[in-house]
Amino acid sequence: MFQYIRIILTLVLITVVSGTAGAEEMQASPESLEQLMSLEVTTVTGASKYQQELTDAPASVSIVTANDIRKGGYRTLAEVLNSVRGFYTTYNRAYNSVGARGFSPPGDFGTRLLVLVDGYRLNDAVFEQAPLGRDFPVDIDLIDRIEIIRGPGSALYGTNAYLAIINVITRNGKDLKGGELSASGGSYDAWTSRVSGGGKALNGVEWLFSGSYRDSTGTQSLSFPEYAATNNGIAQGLDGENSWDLLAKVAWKDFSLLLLHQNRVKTIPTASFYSIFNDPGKKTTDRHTLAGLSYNGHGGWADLNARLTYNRYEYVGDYPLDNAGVRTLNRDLTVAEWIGSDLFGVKTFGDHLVTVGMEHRWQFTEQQRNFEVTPTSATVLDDNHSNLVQGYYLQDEYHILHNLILNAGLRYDHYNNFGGTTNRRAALIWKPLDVSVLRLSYGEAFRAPNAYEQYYSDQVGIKGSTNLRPEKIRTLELGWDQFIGNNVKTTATLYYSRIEHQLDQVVDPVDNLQVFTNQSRLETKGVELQAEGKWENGFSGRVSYSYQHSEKQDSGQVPANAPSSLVKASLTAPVPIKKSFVTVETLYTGSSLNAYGERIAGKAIVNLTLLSRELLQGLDLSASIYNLFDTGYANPVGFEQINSLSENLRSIRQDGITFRLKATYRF
Amino acid sequence: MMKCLLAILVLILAAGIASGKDDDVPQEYLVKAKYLLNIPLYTEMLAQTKTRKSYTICLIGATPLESVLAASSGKLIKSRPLAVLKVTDFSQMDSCQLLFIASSERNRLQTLLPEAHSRGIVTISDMRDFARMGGMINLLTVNGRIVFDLNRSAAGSASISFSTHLLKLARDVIN
Repeated sequence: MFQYIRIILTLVLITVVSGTAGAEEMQASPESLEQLMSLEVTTVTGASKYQQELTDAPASVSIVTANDIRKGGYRTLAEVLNSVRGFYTTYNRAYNSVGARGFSPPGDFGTRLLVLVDGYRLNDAVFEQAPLGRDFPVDIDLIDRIEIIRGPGSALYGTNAYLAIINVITRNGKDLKGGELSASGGSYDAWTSRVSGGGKALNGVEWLFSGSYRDSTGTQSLSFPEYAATNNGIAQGLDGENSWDLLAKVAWKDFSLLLLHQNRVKTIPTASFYSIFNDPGKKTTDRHTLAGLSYNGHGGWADLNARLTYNRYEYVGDYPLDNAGVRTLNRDLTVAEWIGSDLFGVKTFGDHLVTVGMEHRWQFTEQQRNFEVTPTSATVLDDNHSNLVQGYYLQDEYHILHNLILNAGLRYDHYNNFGGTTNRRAALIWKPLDVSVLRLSYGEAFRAPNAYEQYYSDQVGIKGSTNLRPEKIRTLELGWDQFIGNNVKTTATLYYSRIEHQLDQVVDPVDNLQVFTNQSRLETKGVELQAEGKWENGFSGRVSYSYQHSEKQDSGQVPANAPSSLVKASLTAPVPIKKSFVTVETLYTGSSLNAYGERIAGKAIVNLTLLSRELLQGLDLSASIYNLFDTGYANPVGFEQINSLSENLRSIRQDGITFRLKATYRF
Repeated sequence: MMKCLLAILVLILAAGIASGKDDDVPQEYLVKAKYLLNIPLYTEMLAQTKTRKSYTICLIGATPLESVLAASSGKLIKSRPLAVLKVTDFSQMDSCQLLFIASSERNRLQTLLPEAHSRGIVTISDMRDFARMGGMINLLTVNGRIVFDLNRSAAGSASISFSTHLLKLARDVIN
C-alpha cells in the first residue's frame, strides 16, 4: 500500500520540481488555427441531447477521451467506468456489471444504466442488459470519447436512464486519415487484433471501416472453495473468451450511417443456475447487430435531428444440468429485435432553448426459448411477445440571467403492457463567479419491467410475473464545481435518492420458484468529491472519494454489493522519452455484502501503463501491468451462483497480476 | 489510507497552483482567447485605416475573457501592440478592430451588430446562432473542440474579407 503511495508522491514532486511550461509567443503560422481546432475542451451532448459546455449541463458529468483510454491502458468499457468517480464494477466471469451510487444488485444485468453508441440505445429488448465488458460491440480503440452522465435521465431518454447514461461517441473517418493496425498480447494468452481504415473522400463522404478479433484462454485454474466436492473446487480451463466485431460508419453532409456487429463467446467456470461444476459445456454467446441512420440538420428554422435504428440481439446460454444422474445439456435461446425512431427539434426562443421530441420503439421480437439439447430434445419454454414503446418529451433551457440557467424537462412514456409513466427533471445552474458552478437538480427515472422478468419461466427454478410495475427513482442533488487556476478543477456532489417498487428476484414460498416482484423502498445518501488537474507539460492527475449509504426501508438492511466508500487516484506523468507517459492508477473499493448478507473484503488495486506515442513514425506502443501488487480479492455474488449440488458461491475470485503489450501502427 | 490520499490531493492542488497561471478560468476560455488573438491574422479590414497605433480587441458583456486577454496585452498583432478594452456602449467602439460579444448581450444584438459593422469592426461571439443572427464569426463547441461558423455577407457589409484559409477551416459558411 505505502509503496505505491510513495511512487505517486515521487512522481508528483518530480513534476512540480521540473517546473512549468514557458510562456508561449503568439504564432502567425497558418497551422495555429488548426492547432486551436484540435484542442480539447470539455463538452457533453448526452445530457440535453445537444452539445453544451459541461458547466451548463443539468447533471454531474465525467468525460473520458481516447487519450485517457490509451494512457490508462483500459481494455473494456467496464475498466474505464471503474476509473470514474462513484462507479464500481463486478465481474462474475460471464459479464461485467457496473454499479453507481450504492446500487448494483448482484446477478443484475446492468439494467439501470443506459448505454448509447453515437446516440443509439444498446440495452437489448429482452434483458435490457448494459453491455459493458467484452460484449460491448465497439472496439475500445474506436472510441473518441465517453460521456458519463450521472443521475436520472428518463425525462429525456425513457427507461434504463436510471442511475446514469453512458454515451459513447465513436471516432470519425477523417480522424483516421488512412489505415490503422493494432495488436496486443498479454497474460492468459489474451490476443487482440484490429484493422481499421478511414478518411474523407473528395465528394465529402466520410467513411470508417474496422474489424477486430480477440481471443483469450483465461485463467487456467480457478478455485471455488464452496464447490470443493467436485474436482477439489477447481474449474480447469473454463475461462476462455473469444469475440469479433465489425464497424462501418459513413457520413455525408448531415446524414450518417452506422453499422455494428459483434459475436462473443464466453465459457463460464462458475456453474451458475444449478449447472454442473467443472463442465466445459457451460458457455454463453451474445450477438448484437445494429444499423442506424441519423440526420442532424443545423441550418434553417431550427436544429432538426432524426435517428432510425434496427437492432437484433441474440443470446445463447448452454447449461449442463444433472437430471437425476443424467447429464442434460439445457439451452436458453433469446432473440430480441426492434426498430426505433427518435425525432427531435431544438430551437432558440429569446432566452429559451427548447427541445421537443418523440421516440418510438417497436420491439417486435422478444423471443425466449429454453430446451434440452441432449440426451433428448424437449422444449421447456417457447415464448414470444412484442411491445410498442412510445415516448414524448419536452425540455427548456432557460437562461434567466447570463449566469443563471434553469433546465427543466419531462417525458411521458407509454408501454403496451403496463401503461404510462411521466418523469421529470429540473436543474438550476448558477455561476456566481466565472470559476464556480453550483447546480441544484431534481430528477426522476423509471425502469420498466422487461420481457425476461415478465415471461421467462422454466417451471423448475424460475417463473414469470405479468403484474409488475415500473421501478422508480427520485434523486435530489447539489453539485459544486470550482476551477482553481487554469489547470485544476474540484467537484463536490451531495445526493439523496429514493427507489420505489424495486424489481428484484425473490423465492415464492408457495411453489419455491424464483420470481421478480416489486420490492419496498430503498434510500441512498451519498457524497462525491474529486480534484483533477491537467497541465500543458503532459502531467495530469485525478483523485476522488465517494461515500454512499443505501438502506432498505422495510428491513433497515444495507443492500448487497453496495460498498460504502470508493477512492480512486490516477496520475499521468511524462517520461524522458519523446511523447511518452506513465500512468499509475489506484482503485480502492470498500467492503460490501453478498446476497447472503456476508461481508466480502474490499481491495485496493494498482494499475500501471507506459505509453509511447510516435516512437517511430506512426507507431504507438504501450505496456500495462494490471493489479501490480497481485492483490487477492473477490467480488460478492447473488443467489444465481448455485451449482447442481445446490452449493452456493459466496464470492468470485478475481485476477491477480496480469500484463498487456500493445502496438498500434498508423499509415 | 485516507491520510495518504488527502496528501496526494493536497499535492495535486499545490502542483496546480504552482504551475498554473494567475487567471482562474476554465480551459475553454483559454482556447477562445487564443482564437481572438489569431483571427485578426486571417481577416482583411478594408474600411479601417492602417495608421492606428494599436490593435484593439474589445469585449462587451459578461465574459471571463478579459482577464485572459489582458495577459497578452502588448503582444504584436499585425505589427501593432495589442490593447484590450472592455466596452459598455457604442460610443466606446471607435477604437475597436475586433469586438467580442458575450452571450449576455443576446437581447440587444440587433442594435449592437449594425453599429459595429458600420465601423468596420470584426464581430465574434460564442453565443448560439450568432452567425445566423448576423454576426461574422461564431465560435462553437462541437465534439469537444472549438470550431467556428462564418457569415460572409455580414463581413461583406463591413468591408471585411476572410482569408481562404479561414473559409476552408470553417464548419459552416453563410453566404
